[in-house]
Amino acid sequence: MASSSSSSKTGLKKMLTLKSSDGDEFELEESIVIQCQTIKHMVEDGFSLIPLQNVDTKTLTKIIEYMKKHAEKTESNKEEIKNFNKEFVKGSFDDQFELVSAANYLHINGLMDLLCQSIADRINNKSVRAVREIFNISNDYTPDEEEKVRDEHKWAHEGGEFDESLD
Amino acid sequence: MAIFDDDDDEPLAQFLESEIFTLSDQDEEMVEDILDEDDVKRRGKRFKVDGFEGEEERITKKMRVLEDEDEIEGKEKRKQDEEEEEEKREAKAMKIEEEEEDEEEKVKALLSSPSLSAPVEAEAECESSPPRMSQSVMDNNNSVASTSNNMEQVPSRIETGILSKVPPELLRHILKFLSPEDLVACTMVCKFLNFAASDESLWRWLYRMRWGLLLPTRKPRDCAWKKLYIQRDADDMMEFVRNTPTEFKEYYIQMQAAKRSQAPPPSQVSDDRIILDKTIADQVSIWKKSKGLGDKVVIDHVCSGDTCTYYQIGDVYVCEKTGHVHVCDDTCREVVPDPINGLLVCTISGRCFDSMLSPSEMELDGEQQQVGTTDEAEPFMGSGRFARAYLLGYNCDDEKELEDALRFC
Repeated sequence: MASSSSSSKTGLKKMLTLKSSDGDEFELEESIVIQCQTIKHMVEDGFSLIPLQNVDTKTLTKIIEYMKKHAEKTESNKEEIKNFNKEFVKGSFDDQFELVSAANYLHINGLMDLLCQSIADRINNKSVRAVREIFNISNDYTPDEEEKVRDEHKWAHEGGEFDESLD
Repeated sequence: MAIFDDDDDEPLAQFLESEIFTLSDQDEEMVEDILDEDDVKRRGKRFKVDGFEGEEERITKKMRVLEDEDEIEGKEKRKQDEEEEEEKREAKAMKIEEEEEDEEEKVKALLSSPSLSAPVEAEAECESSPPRMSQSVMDNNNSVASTSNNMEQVPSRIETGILSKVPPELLRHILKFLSPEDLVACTMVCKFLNFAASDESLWRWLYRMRWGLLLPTRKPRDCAWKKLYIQRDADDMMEFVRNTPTEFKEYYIQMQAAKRSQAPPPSQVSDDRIILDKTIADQVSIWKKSKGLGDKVVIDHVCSGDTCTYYQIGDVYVCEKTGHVHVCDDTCREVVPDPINGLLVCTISGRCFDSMLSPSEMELDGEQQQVGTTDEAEPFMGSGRFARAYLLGYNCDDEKELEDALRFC
């Protein structure tokens, strides 16, 4: 592990170590890692070994993949990043929600937005029934209550067509 | 008290134990004392004595529920015997006795109060110390939350499915990408999503995205943003339908309804955090910073609707070149009269103001114009964005239409 202050003074790239909740360590350049606000603050406080108790190895690997790619971001490779993002959000809901929680914890705003948008896209224009199916949510309304809520929001369903598909 | 019998939660049991520890202390010491004490006091004590030395005196039905406690108490006593900390206990008992005096006062008060009609309950309640009471209240609430079908009770998170793994506070981040229509679909999915999708900040954003920063009236709003949105949407729809030829009505309704399915564009979603929570002054300075415009004044530039393009924040128009600010309200000084209808038009915002001329003067004006050469009626010519838009016919409903119109410039 590179000691922080001396290496940055000599112009070498300052390295940081992230430790997942499973105990695995990842060594990364500071310039990559500071995309993440939480870590940035810790670096500013002088830490170079950063334990991330809320992030397991699998999730952290994904997040590092994201941060590495986005650290390369320039004006010219916008398209590439876009495609990367597209690929990045593919995956099961379980993985995505793990990532959202981690991104939230680590304060990586770009990743947060990317993931939330992708999850929101799954809800977009879906019928109530489809949303329930997709997220496997059980309906906890009584029939009366459901009727009441439906009444209150009638306007949203006049003339609109909804996607009943589950993808 | 009955609540505690069928409740064998660990913390509660522990709590009871400690409670009984103190009680058992005191009643051992106090049984004899009480016998000598005056009548009222003894009446106040009666249930305590009954409860914990149940075999001695009349056992009321109510008190039977205490039997379990008696058992625990027995254990407790044995434990204590083993410990043989007689001195400590005595000291403690003294203390408790003192406290007990106070409680007796309360009991007395209770006995003399109308609630005497239900003495058992009253006294039993008096017995239970405040922490217990609150505990029982909490228990009640829990049971209400789990069993009731009360609409007001919102579960603190989604119970089933994948979303149950998402911390509730993260849901807002997901929902902010949804259109009003989708949010409404969410409200019907389950109670928690209803709660989450009715979030004020979401609807405020949607409202402002569709109708701008300002409320229709200057009055402070008196209901939730969501309701406000739904109301205004309905109003708009009515208006829209009223002004449409019958044969096109259906299409127009569909067009209007489509506005509800418009989700906030991603770029604006993140703006929300920065811009909407600020005063207009803050917004202006944030916007200026984002464009690299400092607070320094640009001198060799005269702003006018003819030459500049503007960024709009509410009533405020900021010159995109210099950051000069024009506030377009009733005191707007950038107005020029429109020769066609005599209205005053702001060259920057394109906003129309009522003519300052009275109707009679207008007529006169019109006559004069008719008399004079038509060439003289110089049309409003400008090169600014709004000026061009104005030339194209200032009837655009929103920015988008305006944008479309500008393409023909």
